[in-house]
Amino acid sequence: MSEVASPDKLQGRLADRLVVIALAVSFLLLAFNRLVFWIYHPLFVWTDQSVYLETAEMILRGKVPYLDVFDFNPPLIMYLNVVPVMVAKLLRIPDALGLSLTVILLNGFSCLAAAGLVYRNRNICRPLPLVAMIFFFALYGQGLDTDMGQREHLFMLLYLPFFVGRGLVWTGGRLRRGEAVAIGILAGLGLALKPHFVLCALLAELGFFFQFRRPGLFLRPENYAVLGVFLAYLLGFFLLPQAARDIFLYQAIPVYTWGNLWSSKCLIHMICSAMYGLQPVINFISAMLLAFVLRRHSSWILPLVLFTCGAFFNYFLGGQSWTYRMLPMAYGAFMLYGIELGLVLQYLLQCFAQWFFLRQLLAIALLLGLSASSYFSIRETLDQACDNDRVDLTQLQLGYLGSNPRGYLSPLFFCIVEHTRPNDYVLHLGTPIEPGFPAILQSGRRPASRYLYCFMVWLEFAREKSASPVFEQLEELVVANYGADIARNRPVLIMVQDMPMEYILARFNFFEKYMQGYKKIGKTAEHSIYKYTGNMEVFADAGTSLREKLVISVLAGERTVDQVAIENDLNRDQVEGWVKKARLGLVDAVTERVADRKQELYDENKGLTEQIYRLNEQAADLRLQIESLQKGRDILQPKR
Amino acid sequence: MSEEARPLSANKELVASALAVALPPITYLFYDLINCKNDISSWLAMRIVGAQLLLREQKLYVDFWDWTQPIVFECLRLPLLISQGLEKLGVFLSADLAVHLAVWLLLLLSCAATAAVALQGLRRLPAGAAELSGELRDNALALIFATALTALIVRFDFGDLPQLLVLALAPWSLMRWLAYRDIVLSPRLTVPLGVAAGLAACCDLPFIAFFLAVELVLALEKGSIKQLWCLDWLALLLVLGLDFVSLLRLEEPVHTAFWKWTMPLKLANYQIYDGSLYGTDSCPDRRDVLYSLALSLGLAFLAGRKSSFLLPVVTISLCGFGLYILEKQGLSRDLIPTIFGSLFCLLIFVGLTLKKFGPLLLPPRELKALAPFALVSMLLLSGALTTLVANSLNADRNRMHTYVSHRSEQGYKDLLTVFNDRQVWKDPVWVISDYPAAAYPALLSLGAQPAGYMLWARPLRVLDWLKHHQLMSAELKDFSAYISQKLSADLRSRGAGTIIVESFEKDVLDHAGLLTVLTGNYVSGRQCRYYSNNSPPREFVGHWEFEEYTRKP
Repeated sequence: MSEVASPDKLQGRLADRLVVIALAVSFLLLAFNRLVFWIYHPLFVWTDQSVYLETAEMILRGKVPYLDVFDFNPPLIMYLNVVPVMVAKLLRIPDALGLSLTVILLNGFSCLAAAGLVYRNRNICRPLPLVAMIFFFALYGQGLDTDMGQREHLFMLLYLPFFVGRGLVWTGGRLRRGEAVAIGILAGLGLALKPHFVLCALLAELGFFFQFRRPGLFLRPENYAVLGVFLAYLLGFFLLPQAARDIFLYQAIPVYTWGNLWSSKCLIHMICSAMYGLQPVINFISAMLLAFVLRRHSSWILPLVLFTCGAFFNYFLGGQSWTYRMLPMAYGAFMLYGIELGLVLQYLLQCFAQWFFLRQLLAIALLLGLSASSYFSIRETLDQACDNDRVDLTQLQLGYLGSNPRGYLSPLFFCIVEHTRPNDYVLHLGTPIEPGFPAILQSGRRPASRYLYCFMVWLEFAREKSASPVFEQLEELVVANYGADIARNRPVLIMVQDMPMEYILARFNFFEKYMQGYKKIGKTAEHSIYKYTGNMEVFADAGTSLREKLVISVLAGERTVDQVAIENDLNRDQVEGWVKKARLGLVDAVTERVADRKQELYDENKGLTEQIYRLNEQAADLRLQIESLQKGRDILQPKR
Repeated sequence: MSEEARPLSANKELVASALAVALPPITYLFYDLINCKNDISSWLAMRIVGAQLLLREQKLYVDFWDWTQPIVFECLRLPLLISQGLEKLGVFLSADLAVHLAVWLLLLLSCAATAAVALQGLRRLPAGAAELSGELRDNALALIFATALTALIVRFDFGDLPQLLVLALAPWSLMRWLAYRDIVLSPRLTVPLGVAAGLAACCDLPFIAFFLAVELVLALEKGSIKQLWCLDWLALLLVLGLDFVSLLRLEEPVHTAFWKWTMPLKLANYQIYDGSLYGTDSCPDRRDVLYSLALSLGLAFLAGRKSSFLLPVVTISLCGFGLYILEKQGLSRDLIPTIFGSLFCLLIFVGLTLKKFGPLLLPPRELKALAPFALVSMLLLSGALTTLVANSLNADRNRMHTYVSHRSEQGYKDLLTVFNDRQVWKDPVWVISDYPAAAYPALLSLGAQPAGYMLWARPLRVLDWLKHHQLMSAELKDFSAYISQKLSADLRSRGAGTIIVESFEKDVLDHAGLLTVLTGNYVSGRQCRYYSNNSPPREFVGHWEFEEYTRKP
């Protein structure tokens, strides 16, 4: 029997719909407004993420983790990165942009899925604190750039719907079986990325259990799904070739355990060295204080607090000042802020219940505020995009259209694109992952070794600290593997970090043994650049005037390129290159350089700025001396 | 219910329990203070030296410099005067021991004040508030035990300002918690506690934040601020006001030196991160305290529904962590409030767990039969924990001793050996270091006079940083010029027989144009080290390399 709704009810429904629509649009804005930034920064990706993207590329080329591409992490992250690489291939965009788009989509999906679960259970739970919590979750993601797509970030994105779903189940809500399994699988993938994430999830469950005391709720499809993912992962690990597993268990883990200490930092550095790291800790303190005040007003506070405390513990246990490891704690603190704000808003709405449209007004204000902030954020990105300081990707022949701001690319990137062609092999030997990665990935070149980044310094440290012969043998093995990889792939460029890499490699006679046929063509970003020339001479060090004469003689038609090459014992390709460049501009052609001209100007500018700075300092000193001379001994006489 | 109507035995029981939990740590602490006199906090030792200089009519900030508040030096005068008075009577009581004993007495007073607050609170509870009565009793006992045991745990920082803050915060927070439960105590108790809190709040700039934060969270939880209108807060604010007025009325040039030089520099210090804090050994690894903080926070939230007093203590704990971040030095001393708060939370959680699961393990009759043994159990538990902490302290001492001897044999001399070799007893010596631990308490124990204007050299680095980043105000430029002039005069006078310079401080001296003056008047000698594995009892900040300079003939 249908009942005709009264005008009041209809008005109420309409008002509710308005709130839901405003919130939904707000969420969409929040989740996707950074899309423009990433589209205008198509090559922007940070070190770890770029390594996983490259690993995923290699997996797609049939390589086996650990055996053909070495890493210290469990394999899941490598396989997960196949998704953004596929997206990139599908859309014909750089892998870096593929990752950004995938993560933005995952972020949107995660927030909307969580919000959807809350909406469907809105009669059971008080939705406002939860909506605010999810809103703050999405808000935190706005500020991420270098940590975008890190394992901790992916964990939080994959875990959010599960956390909300589980909370709803504990508080009496309902999940469909399909939903439960889906959020369980996603959470399982997130939790399996690093073993200690499980601690956070367990603590959150403990928080719910402590309040509701219904052990039966542990036996639910979403939890089975999580377990299922873990079992499948374990099975998958055993399906890897024995040799690959051995490398992970007997090389990666021991080296990581010892070598990790090499890059450890002191406690205060882990907190205060940068604002980016300090802010989450301050958020943690303030969110905890407020949470304790409001602890009796929401059953979601305790699980979230325990989750955040677990994440806090994990960060400090790691002993590194890598800020991405703070992400679960930072997200936890922000979600706590959300719940706290939601509780306050809820209280205010109850106090002013007679103001019928207050709820709607708040929702519209939020939408307007977000629209304005999105507008300004997008405009800022577009303004930056109009700057001339962008690198045209089309000209670099990377296979993509568009451009990327120069400041987001390292000097090594320019060095690589200057001296190599797409799909050439390149090798970076340095203690940190960067600048080898992301430069190699961004330039679309191939890594020449199974070791995408060099961990020789970790091995050296492990050998010294542990005094175990295992690490000495491993050192020799790794050096031999490098040698074999160089011989097999014959990288066009080898970039060797000055300190301490050159010293470490020299211990193994690396240059003499494995780098025959390579000539040092220059230095950039504290790296020596070696180029493969075979047995031919490279005239990087030759005088400009000689080169100029030779090129002019070719341009004047007095000699051919071949004649010049033979007469002067030169590499023909090189002479041809000079002549080719000379045709584009004589001055530009005679200057052999490591990176491009713009980079050189930047370096020069940097040097001059430093000089100005030093001179300013001297001027300030002189001023002080003059002032102190003027004041003389009267400085301490009491004022009358 | 009137005060008289309460059974007296309950009060006696509380006093007995308080004694049972507090006596072991406090007694052992007394023994340790007497027995290991040289284990004195470097900061306290440096301030004692400063207070001694004040007694010799030197002017703070003008004749010697440290950025401690004047009130701290004023408070230190009293035990020093007592020590001097006793010396005249033929009783030798060293300055450091006199100060240690004074702080120990303050610890006793703090515990006694907490007990007094609890006793009066119990008497003034409304009828039928059995649950609150039990909670108050438990909180008071845990608070007394946590205060006493924290004093022992932080033995190597005993008497330092954050510890004094904890001594004031313990009874204050209990009193304020009661106030928010509408239990108003007698002014005879609240006013002295307010004064003590005010004095503690004056000791350092961030300390007032602890009292404000505790009040804020209590007010937020209660949803009322009318409890702020009380005598305790009035007393606290009066002390703060008086201190402020006394600072305003400082004589010139101390006034200028304090307001225009010292305070801006101290505030600037909070904004500067010291780049030398990088490698794992460059500051003490106190992750154990942070793990305890995370654990205690979790447990406090779990127990938070049963014990509302956890709110102010959690606040103290988190504010302690905030202090640690603000100071940016990574030293254990800044974590003392966090250690105290975490310890309290753990104690309360254990207590609540025992209360909850006790009846499950034993039937109520048997539990009742065990009641007379409660006091003995408390004493035993307190004794056991005290023994544990005492052993840990001794292990720390032995570990450090072994470490220093081992390293000294291998290479450079330890600073203490250098001081001994140079026979600096009563002889002026000057240590230019970023942290006071390199010089104090060694110089205090040796009775060596500080020969330079600055008791420690961290401000030089701060000024250098400000200069480098072109952030110097006109006043700070004056101060920099004044320091250069004073230090230059100190070096030229060759007053110090020996100067020990932290190697990484040399660039700062060079920027200030003082290195040439130093090398012009002193001969560069051997390299030495402040050997430490950077854990208590020897903590340092940044580097441990030093260079010895001896006066040119």
